[in-house]
Amino acid sequence: MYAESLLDIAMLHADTLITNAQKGDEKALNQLVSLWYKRIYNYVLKYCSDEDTATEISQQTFIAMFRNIKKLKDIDRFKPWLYRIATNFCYEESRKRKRNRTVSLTVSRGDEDDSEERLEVGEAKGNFFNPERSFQQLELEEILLESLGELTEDQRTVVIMKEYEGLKFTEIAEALDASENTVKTRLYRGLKTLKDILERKNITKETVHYEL
Amino acid sequence: MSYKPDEATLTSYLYGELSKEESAKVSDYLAANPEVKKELEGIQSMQKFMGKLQDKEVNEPSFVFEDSPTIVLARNNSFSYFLKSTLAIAASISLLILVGYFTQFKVSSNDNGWQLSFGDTQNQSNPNFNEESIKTWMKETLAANNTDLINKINEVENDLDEQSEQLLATNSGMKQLANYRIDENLIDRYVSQISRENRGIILGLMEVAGRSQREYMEEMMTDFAKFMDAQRQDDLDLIQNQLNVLVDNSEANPIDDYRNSE
Repeated sequence: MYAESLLDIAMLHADTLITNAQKGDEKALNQLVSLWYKRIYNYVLKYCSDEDTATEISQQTFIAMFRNIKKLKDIDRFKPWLYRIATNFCYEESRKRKRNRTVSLTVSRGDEDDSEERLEVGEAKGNFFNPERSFQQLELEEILLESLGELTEDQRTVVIMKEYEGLKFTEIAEALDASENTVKTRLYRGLKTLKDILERKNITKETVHYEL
Repeated sequence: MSYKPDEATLTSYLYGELSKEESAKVSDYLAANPEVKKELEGIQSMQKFMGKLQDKEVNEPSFVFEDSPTIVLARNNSFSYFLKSTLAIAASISLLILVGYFTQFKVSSNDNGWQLSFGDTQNQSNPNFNEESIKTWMKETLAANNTDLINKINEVENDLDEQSEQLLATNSGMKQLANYRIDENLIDRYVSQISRENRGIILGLMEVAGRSQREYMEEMMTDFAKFMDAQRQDDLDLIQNQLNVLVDNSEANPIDDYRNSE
């Protein structure tokens, strides 16, 4: 088996790392952070669309991991277990924000209209050189993030876990404590809703190919 | 054709996780239902550009483990932090040196001691500033200080005297108060007066009570005598009646008496 990247090489030794971390090996714990931090951070970032919150939740996730890793009985389940911790913190944060009625995790109607307008400006300018393309790449990323934010919590979680984190259905089911069938149903509905949202924002296969 | 795949099955179809047989069934269904097929194709094409949302690069923090279970988030990139702080210190020192250079800051020492100066140094040795003058100055200062101190002490003594006088006055007042002994005879008189009064009250009460008691007893005895009289009278009346009845009976039945006599 040939590993493609350093991450893959590290993953091959992940089991040993987890076992050592369970014994309280600080080095192993920090290595686990090195391995998983980027993944968890990006997962949370796509969920909440806010870098500061993503950093905070990622740190909370790993602190919770340190405290509870000894309780993890089956080290093969480490990945869904870690995503489960992160997801719980995401849900908690989401509830806190709803309760405090501060900035919503999802995009408000006003922002959405604004982004549509900005995209139209981008279209009108054309795409003749790289900075423009890069700008439009950022625009597209922003729209995708916004659109993910418009999904329900359950759908968003499943879509990000499958499409961006590449988790297996069994892993997602375990992370969310749901059946595989439920996960698949949520995923289908999430993808369908996301497609509708993007179409409403005039982001389709044709426009994206034209843009980029 | 009644087969209709549910959403979970469609998801499995999208991700190629169906068996050949099931996949063929779904394909047939899609062929017969173009709107569902279009929906699926829409999702598939969307999935292709969803990847445009790329991962953000991030520096993972390192965690410092104090006494378990306390975990502290360490500063990111400790080496760069060290470098930054070293550079900051170096820059501060350079700035100080530069300022010192431009202001011609000098530190020098001579017979009179250390001297800090900006610009040219001036020899400020004072010929009058010798041991004798210092001694005189110290004496003067000490004398002035002593006078001040004595004055202050006198003031305080005066204050103390005043206060002690006041205290004495208060004390004598207290003593006078203590001299006011209450005469024991007065108390005895008072007590005897009270007891006398009390005795009078009690006697009066007894007298009144005895009188009313007596009246009540007399009344009761009278009533009882009257009752006894009435009773005796009734008894006498009853005996009289009985005798009358006997007399009447003997008069009414003489034959019986006769027979009886026979």
